[in-house]
Amino acid sequence: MSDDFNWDDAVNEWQHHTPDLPALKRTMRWETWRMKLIIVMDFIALLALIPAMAYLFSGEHTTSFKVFFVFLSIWAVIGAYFDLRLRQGLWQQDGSSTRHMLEFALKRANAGVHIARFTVIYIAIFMMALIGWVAYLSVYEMAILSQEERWFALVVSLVVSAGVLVGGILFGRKKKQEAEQLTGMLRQYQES
Amino acid sequence: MSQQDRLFNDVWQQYFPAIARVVQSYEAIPALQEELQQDIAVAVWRSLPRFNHQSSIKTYILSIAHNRSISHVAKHVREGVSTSTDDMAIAGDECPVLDLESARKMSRLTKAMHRLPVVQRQLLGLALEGLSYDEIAEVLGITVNNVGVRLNRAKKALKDAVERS
Repeated sequence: MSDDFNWDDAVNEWQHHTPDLPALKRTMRWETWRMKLIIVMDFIALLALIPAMAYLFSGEHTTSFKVFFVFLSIWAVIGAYFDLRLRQGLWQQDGSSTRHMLEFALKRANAGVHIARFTVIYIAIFMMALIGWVAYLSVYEMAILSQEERWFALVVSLVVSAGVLVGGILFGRKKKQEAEQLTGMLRQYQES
Repeated sequence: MSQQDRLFNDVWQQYFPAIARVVQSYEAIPALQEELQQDIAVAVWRSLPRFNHQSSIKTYILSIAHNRSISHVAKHVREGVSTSTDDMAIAGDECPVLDLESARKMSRLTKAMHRLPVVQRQLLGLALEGLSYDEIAEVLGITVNNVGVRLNRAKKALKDAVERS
């Protein structure tokens, strides 16, 4: 491989070369458990709703509070159910070849697009319910919270929800781009 | 240290040069090389207990390394030319005596590979490591005949890219 390229020289050069890479960090165990940990945390959050509900129904809270938190709990369960359903079949790929890997990555990217769409609709409905509840409080149950507390609760909830909404839209776009790129790459492995 | 850790250490030590070459053939930016190497290490560590001895361990490890690298390229949305290779440093670049010529050749070869589409980079990387057509076909998930045709095209593309540089 002086100036003219020679395959055998290239093979020889290649196999005798060891690039200088930094030392490996020990994060293997953490990476393996991260995905499982997220699911465990999801379930813990869902389980935490049970004592919260018990507290709400045992105390002297108004009907609108109870109705809203029942809606919130049902909504959280629906969210967790669809999240798990949309991730079905995404835990392990079928084969080990690059083509299989790309097919699997594409499946995951498409699921990401669906999850993002679902999140946007899910949060939009939640935001509408929240605004409706605060409006109801303002008209019928003004004594429960002061005006400042109502505004504070509304603004904080809306900011958080809007953040998740924007995040969902951006995540969806990113996953869509990823899916388009993976489709292009997969085509390279499928064409003869 | 668990058995999985011991197995990983042995395999990593033995195949590190090949893995490092895979990393360098897909990624030129040192910080991202480190990230990719880490990704590959995690994937190897996780996959080792599933190794079923149907292929050689070398093919298995290279398959994991290439698949992680392709995912990395997809993630960073950089098909074909993944990064600027102009400032790419190859180990030995600064060595004054015999290694200099070898480092220059490797630098040209790696830079030329970076200009090729991912599928050609993968084919060439595996062939340069000495894998057979059967093994390459298994890694890529294509037929052996297809490997022959594609590899010839890839070699020609590499030759053109090296000679143009």
